[in-house]
Amino acid sequence: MSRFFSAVLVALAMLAATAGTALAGSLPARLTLTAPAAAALGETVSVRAQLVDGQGGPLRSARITFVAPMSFLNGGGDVALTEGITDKEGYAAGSFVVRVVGTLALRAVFRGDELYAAAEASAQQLAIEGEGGHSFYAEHAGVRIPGLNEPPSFGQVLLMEPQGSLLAQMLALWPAMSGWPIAGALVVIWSLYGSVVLLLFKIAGVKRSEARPSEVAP
Amino acid sequence: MEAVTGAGGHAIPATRPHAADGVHAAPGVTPAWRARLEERGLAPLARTGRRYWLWIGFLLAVIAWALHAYQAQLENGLIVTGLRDRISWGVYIASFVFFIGISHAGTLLSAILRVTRARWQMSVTRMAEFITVVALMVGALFPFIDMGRVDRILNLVQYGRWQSPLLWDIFAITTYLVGSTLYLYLPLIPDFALARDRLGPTAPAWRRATYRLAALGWRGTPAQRRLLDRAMTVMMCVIIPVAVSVHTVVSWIFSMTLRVAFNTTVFGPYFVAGAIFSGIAAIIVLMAVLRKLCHLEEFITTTQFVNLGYLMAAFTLIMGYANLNEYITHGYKMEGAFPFHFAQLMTGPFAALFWFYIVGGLVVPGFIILNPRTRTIAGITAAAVLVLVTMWLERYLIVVAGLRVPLMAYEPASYAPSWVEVSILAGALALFALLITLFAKIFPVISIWEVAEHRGPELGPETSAMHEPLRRPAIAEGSTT
Amino acid sequence: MKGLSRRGLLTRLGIGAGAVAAAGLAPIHFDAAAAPAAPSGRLRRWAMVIDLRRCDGCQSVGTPPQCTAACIQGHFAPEPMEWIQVYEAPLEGRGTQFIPTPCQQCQNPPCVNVCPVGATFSTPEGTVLIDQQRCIGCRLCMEACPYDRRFFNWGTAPIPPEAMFMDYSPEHQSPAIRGTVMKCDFCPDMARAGRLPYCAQGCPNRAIYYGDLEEDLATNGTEVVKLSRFLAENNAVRLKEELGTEPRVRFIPGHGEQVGRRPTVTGRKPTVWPWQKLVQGATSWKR
Repeated sequence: MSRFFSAVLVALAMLAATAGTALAGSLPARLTLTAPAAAALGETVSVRAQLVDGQGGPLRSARITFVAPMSFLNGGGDVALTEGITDKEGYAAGSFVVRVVGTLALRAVFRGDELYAAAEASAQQLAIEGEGGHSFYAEHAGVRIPGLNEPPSFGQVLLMEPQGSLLAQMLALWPAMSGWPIAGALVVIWSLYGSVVLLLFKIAGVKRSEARPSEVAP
Repeated sequence: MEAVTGAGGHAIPATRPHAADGVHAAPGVTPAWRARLEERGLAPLARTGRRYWLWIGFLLAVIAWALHAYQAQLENGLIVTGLRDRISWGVYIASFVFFIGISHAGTLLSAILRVTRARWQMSVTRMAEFITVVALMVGALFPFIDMGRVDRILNLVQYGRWQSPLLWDIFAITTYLVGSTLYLYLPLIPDFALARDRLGPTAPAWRRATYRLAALGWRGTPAQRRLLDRAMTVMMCVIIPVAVSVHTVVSWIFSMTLRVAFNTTVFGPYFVAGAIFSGIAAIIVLMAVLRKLCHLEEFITTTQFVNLGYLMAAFTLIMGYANLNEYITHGYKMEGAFPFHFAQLMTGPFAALFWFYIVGGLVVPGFIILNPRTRTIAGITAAAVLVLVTMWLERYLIVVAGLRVPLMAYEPASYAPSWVEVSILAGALALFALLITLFAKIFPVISIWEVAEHRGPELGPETSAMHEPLRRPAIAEGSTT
Repeated sequence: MKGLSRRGLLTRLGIGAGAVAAAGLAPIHFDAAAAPAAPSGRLRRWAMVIDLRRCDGCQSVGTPPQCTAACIQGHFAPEPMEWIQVYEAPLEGRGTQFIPTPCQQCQNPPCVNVCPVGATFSTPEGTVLIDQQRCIGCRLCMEACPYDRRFFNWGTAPIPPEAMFMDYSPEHQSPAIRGTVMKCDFCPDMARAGRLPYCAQGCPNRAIYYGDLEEDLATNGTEVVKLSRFLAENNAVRLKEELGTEPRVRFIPGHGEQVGRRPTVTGRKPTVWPWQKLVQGATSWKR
């Protein structure tokens, strides 16, 4: 009988030992999260979490992920905002830039390791406020196309109702005249053509009286 | 009544064109020689033979077939061509570049050589100017033939963007076309006056009226001479930078893209050199043809052929130099997709065309011209024909082989022109020939007043025709048409 | 299939040009105000991240690539256009990787730069669109694109059923107009409706993420990631970076290892266009 019980005890101990290596550990760990309550759009938010064991002793070299549930288009879920590794006092810190307006339910997550169980902590909701209008991502989206996302094209300007003074109208043509070097070259060349045509008219208009006597037709 | 020499080295007739007193002519001009020049120069305007109508009929037939092919393209879309998504430009754009290239003939001969006060080319400047204007008109058709939506042509005006190389192209070609038309017209004025005065009562009244109108009342007065001289100087100076910019801008359609074969800085000068090269060849061929047909052997002699031949040989060296630069610099490094391009040109599917272009277009014509035994009119004309054919092939290679280089990891595509593209190219060549023929009927093919006043008979090997009496009756007596 | 009923209904009932414009159907005068804005009212900056560690060319599924199939089906792309095309590129050491390549939506787009009539244009969100009603078919944009992502309507493409219910718009390019250019448009109408593009929805391995660089979020339908962090931590790269086109599509290098593909297993099923088989007398210019 005692041999049976000791065999059961040994089996249970072995089970406990293997269970300890395959799953997260069973030792309790506690996580506390420190995070601000409000932030402005575009501000860098710093968060800190401390991981301690059941007796309050710090746990170090543990990976803490700071997440918040967010949705985008038709997907949703926890977004990993930043990560940190705990130092010898158990503190892990991270920072991220907030680019969404609203409230974020921040959480610190410890996924557990061989000895310790997973732990989570949450803080008060982070309220992010900001005005629209200022873009953080600055980039020129290609060429501004007159008529599409820019002032109208040259042809359309001529067809439009004139607005404002003559000077204002001419200035309104300026963005469409971004090809001024080309326009300048064309103006020069075509004026020269025009001057040649004028010379042709002059040739045609030269009076017969200028003809010399010997040139009268036989 | 002294002869007035203009600033550009060309002479303005000091007398009425038919006052053949020889005082104002170049040395060696006898009244008989002058009369022969005028007669031969004006002959096509007065007489039309049966061969002419047969030739016109043949050309119209080819053009009609080309129109039928284009109609098939308008009906079904560009699917009737051999083009597809990977190689989306082919015969049309290659022919466009080719014809715009030939149009540099006139500028080189008329303007550049005039500026340098050369005189030997004066008998062929008119033909060169013909080629310029006609080649521009035909070449400018091709981008519209190639467009998927020709019905939206006006979008180019309404929504045109300055930043696009195609718009630069439109500006440049239009400017060049207007400029070369003016430049063709200016030296024609005294010749129109000659025709107005010479064409007898047998010519139709509308023709005489047209010449009278076009001659602008030219009487050869000093005032008119000054004005014409000034106009020609202006055009001469303007047309050279315009012509250079035209083919540079055409090259930028390619070199403003990121394709391996196009993304090179040499394209501007390369295309201009190639344009002048093919332009010279076109002049030589047209010279040979019109010389025979219009009996101008006395006025267009071996001098013109040999000098143009030397120019063409010089350009074979320039083209060879440009090609060497291009392939040596890229071939040494073999960066990116260049190994593929190198291989497809030199040993792959395009090898036959490429080596035919290099050997038949650059090496053989050079040898023909530099070898005294082959430096004859026939030899030089053959070299010019070779150059013309290989320069079209070179444009084709640039466009098609350039586009064939794969951009991503896929098998390279292939392209073969369809019957529509070949027919339309044939129609364009026929249109070119037709317009030249019509020009030769309306305008004298030789610039009579310039040759008489400035060049005179050639000193050197002379054709026997020079000393023979006129073989044809004078124009004023009228004859069969 | 697209949900076309609401918009199509609005069009048919002619409910106010304003409503139609707000739905983004105004063809040429692209109304930026109708663009989908982030909740704070800021403009979206669409971007895509394709995780090549999860793309195996649908070898495990045994079908032609599903991203391409979904795009073809959703947009009725005419044969042989593959607006998102899965290229199989060689890797060092005898392997290959699959690279699903949509229009790269460049910020310095060579195609927009060369268009003579401005038919292809960049929207304020950075998407490059084509107005087929303005395109003249010169195909200079096709020569300029270094990614082989533009396609020409050489013939008359078959008309899909949805074309009968909607006006043409550069945002969903239906019906195809002969003689003009088409390409991937990043599905802006889907984004406005709060949905992912067809390719992202179709991928069985959820390898395609669609995101907003302004709000710094992206999703593949199941998970949401912080875009900048996702890109940095996974060594995201862009195609042909040296050309300076500044694409909005980024790739996380891989060869499908996260879905069990070994790089030496090559080949994928060829793309098909099943919708076109249902149309009588449909022309195709596939070689």
